[in-house]
Amino acid sequence: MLKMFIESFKNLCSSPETIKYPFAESPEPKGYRGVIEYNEDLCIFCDKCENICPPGAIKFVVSDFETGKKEYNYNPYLCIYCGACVTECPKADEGCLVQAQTRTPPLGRVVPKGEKLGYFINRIDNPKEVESKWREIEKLNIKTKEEYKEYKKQQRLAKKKAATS
Amino acid sequence: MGKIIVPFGSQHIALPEPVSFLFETENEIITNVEAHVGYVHRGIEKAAITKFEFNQLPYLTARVCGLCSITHAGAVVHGLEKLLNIEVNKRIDYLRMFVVELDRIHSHLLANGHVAEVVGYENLFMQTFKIREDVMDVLERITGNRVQYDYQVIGGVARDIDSEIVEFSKKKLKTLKDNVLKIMDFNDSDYTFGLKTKGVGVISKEMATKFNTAGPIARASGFATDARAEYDYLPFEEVGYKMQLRTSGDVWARNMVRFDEVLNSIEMCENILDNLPAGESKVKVKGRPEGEVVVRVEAPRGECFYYLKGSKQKVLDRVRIRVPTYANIPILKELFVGAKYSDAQAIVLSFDPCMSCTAK
Amino acid sequence: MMVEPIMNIEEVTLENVVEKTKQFYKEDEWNFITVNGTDLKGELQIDWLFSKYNDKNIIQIFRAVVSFEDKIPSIVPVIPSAWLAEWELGDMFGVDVENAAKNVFIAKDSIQAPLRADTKF
Repeated sequence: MLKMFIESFKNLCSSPETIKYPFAESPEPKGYRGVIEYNEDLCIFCDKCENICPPGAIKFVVSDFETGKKEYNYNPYLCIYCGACVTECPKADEGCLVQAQTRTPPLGRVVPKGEKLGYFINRIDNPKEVESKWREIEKLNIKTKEEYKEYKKQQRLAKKKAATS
Repeated sequence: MGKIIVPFGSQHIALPEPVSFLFETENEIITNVEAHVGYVHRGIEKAAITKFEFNQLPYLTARVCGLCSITHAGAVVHGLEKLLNIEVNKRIDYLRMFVVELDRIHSHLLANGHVAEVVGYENLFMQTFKIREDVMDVLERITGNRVQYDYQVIGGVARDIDSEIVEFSKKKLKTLKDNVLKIMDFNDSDYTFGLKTKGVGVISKEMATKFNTAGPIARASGFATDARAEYDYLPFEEVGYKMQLRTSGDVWARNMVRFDEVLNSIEMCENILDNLPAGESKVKVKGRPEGEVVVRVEAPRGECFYYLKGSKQKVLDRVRIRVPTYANIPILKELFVGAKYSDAQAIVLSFDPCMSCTAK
Repeated sequence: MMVEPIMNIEEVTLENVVEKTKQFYKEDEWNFITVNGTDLKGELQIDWLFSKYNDKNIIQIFRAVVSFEDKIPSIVPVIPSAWLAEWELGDMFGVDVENAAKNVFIAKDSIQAPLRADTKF
């Protein structure tokens, strides 16, 4: 018990271990797992990142049936920041999908904006609508994928008919 | 004399886990116990065979528990690598062992701090949590997060380490070792702490064998069982692993076994950092899992068991998890009968229960 | 060298499983792990799993294939710590186990027998 008394007196005269958080800064440490950033010019629309995401935070919606171009939608409030999509992307070295070292702010009064965060989060202004609008995107994802598959099947049948006749 | 039923309920000021015991007491001695354990059942076994594909499973099972998350992910990865016939190289084994031993250190320090808090010695609880911050700094630098690491993937590890991280870890481990020796001395030599913990909740070696206990609880009674020595999943003998045993079997002996294991783990980590072999940190993965396999790994609380069955599809057939707290609940019910009611909180917390693992 | 354990599987029936366990189990040699059930699309396969202390080579399994209406005997007279695993088997698959309490893990007003293959959400 005497040893603990001496230890407590030493702690009384030394500096505290904690930092006063809202009044002092708390920067992110090196190697932090932060938000995912996307570059549309380098993407080849292979769908590998969508297939591996465990909570389903990346969803593509087909926008143009002729060229096969898709729109990238990302929900930073469903993401678990594991980095599996970055590992699977074949163009990750050139910078198509990158994990940055910044935090996502908590869902309070504003929704975060940025060009590299995809189409979904840049179209919403009210934080209360995030959940209901994301359900619509999930339904659109399934619907447009079925229509795209039907369209490609019709193209293949038409080509076969034109080749034989 | 009348009987009173006292709830050591699911909401209690000394209980950090959602478990509920109903004690029937008579003059402050407990005579009968009824236990309720299913408060946080989330249906993870059903989700693993309907909704998630096999390469998303390590991310799902890591979230069964917060403190032993890397052992659950490691067991699934080891089982799937056996079913897919993949061999990993030595560098991946050593990196996985490094993070597993660091996780064991921080979990044991948290358990010992909580036993000190519940007994009434809050100063020792604060000091133990202060020295635990060194381990959390090293883990945050390597994996990016303090509690959920997502570090083990099928075919390797998520990130590699370079020489700057090795220097940083060596400095932190050296300060940690001096601090742990100081705190172990406080636990050992303090008179009032000894009155509350020595001779309380004694388990003899015959009782531990009869009820099939696992983990530091069995090792504190002299019963030599450890999954690191009974199943080969990582090369622990090459870096200096030794089994630690004590013989008294009370609350004080369980604390001391955990401190002995912490010192052994620090020595193992320093050996790993000195002898890291060269190589790649990821190996190629192909195919689909087929067959059945049995895996046993050593979590900080004891032996964790997994059974996997697949049949060449993307979704597995059966995933069965049995955690060490599940194996220790029957003996906890036997220990309470005949003890005083005011010792109940020290006995429960010295078992280090993890209820979110038990009711998955 | 990594040692791979051999899974030694033995077929039993519901009538003789308690007898076989009593002859086979010795307290300081064998470790009882758990009782496990798998749904085989219409039938239930039950495994009783044991491992040996201080030996890396062997895991012993007793396997029985039963239907969902059978009554399953309890091995608690031989192994006193097996009651929790048997209660969970009864709750999760909706089968009748001897001397088991009901609704320990699943509440009374939720979907019953969730681990059967034909229970959908």
